[in-house]
Amino acid sequence: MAHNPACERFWPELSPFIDGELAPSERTHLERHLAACPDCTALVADLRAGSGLMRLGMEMAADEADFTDFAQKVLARVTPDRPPFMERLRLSFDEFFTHQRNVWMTSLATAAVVMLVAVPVLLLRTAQPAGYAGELMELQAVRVAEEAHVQPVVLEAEADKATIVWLVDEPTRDDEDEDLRRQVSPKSPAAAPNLNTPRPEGGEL
Amino acid sequence: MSTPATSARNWVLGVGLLVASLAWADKPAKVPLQVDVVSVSNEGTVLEPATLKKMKDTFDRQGLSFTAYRQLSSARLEVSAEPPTELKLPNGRTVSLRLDKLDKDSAQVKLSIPGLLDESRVTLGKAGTVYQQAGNHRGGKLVLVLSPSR
Repeated sequence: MAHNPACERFWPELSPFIDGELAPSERTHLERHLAACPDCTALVADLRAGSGLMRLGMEMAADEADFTDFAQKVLARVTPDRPPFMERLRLSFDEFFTHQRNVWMTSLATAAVVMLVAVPVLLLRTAQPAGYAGELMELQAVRVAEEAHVQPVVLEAEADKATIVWLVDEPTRDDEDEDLRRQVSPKSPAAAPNLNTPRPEGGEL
Repeated sequence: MSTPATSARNWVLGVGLLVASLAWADKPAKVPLQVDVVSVSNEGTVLEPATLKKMKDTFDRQGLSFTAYRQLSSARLEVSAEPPTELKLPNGRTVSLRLDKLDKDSAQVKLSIPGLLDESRVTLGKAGTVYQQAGNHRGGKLVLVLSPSR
């Protein structure tokens, strides 16, 4: 069939025109051409007939197909069988250590730092303070200052697990003399020694 | 070329090692000791605080009968060999505490009060109390109460 060479530029638009896929301006331009070109109009009619026959054939084929369990069959082909738990765990670890190396290295380092700092602190807090190996507080020795004129008296209160270090005043010369006077009978003052005489001193042998 | 993750990891490791080394570094030996200062007298009938009843009962059983017990101070001291720990007393005296010996985790502390007590040596223990008289105070006596650190 002889055709107008000017029609050739419209042929690629004929099939989209039938399918309704042309832009409005292109559709208007083509419709204007079809109104003046019987050859292109006949061609469009042939294309429409062919498309209709093809659709009819596909619909007949679809009617004959069994779509029972269609979704399940498609999903079965898409999702493989689930591997065992241990296999899945191994795969997860492999992927993690392969593809998340920086993450787990940093996490491991942080955990190590926390352990290095926290464990000693916790141990020190719960442990017995240094120096308390003994069972009881014990007094080992006591020595008073000479100028204090006191004497230490150590009282052991075993029932109370306590030791008392008491400092008592040293008896003075006057105190000793008073004690001696009390020992002598007041009814025989003549028998009382004369305490005012000086004590004898040593001399040459 | 180090990535940010590697740099962060190295930084964390470095800081952690530094902190750990500081924690484990050798430090001068110190032992904790609880020291309370109690005033005992016969002026009034008072127990301040009420926990001093145990001290009063102990003293009563030993023939030291006082009616008034007042806690004037309470401190947890860290006692080392040098420098000595000094505690000023309300009667104007100063008690000096020094770690005299630390042998196999058994510590001996030496107390001294210039002009009164040349030395009083106490071995620390998990329990028990040492009452050290520390001179006169307002008609009564001052007593240092030495007990395991709380």
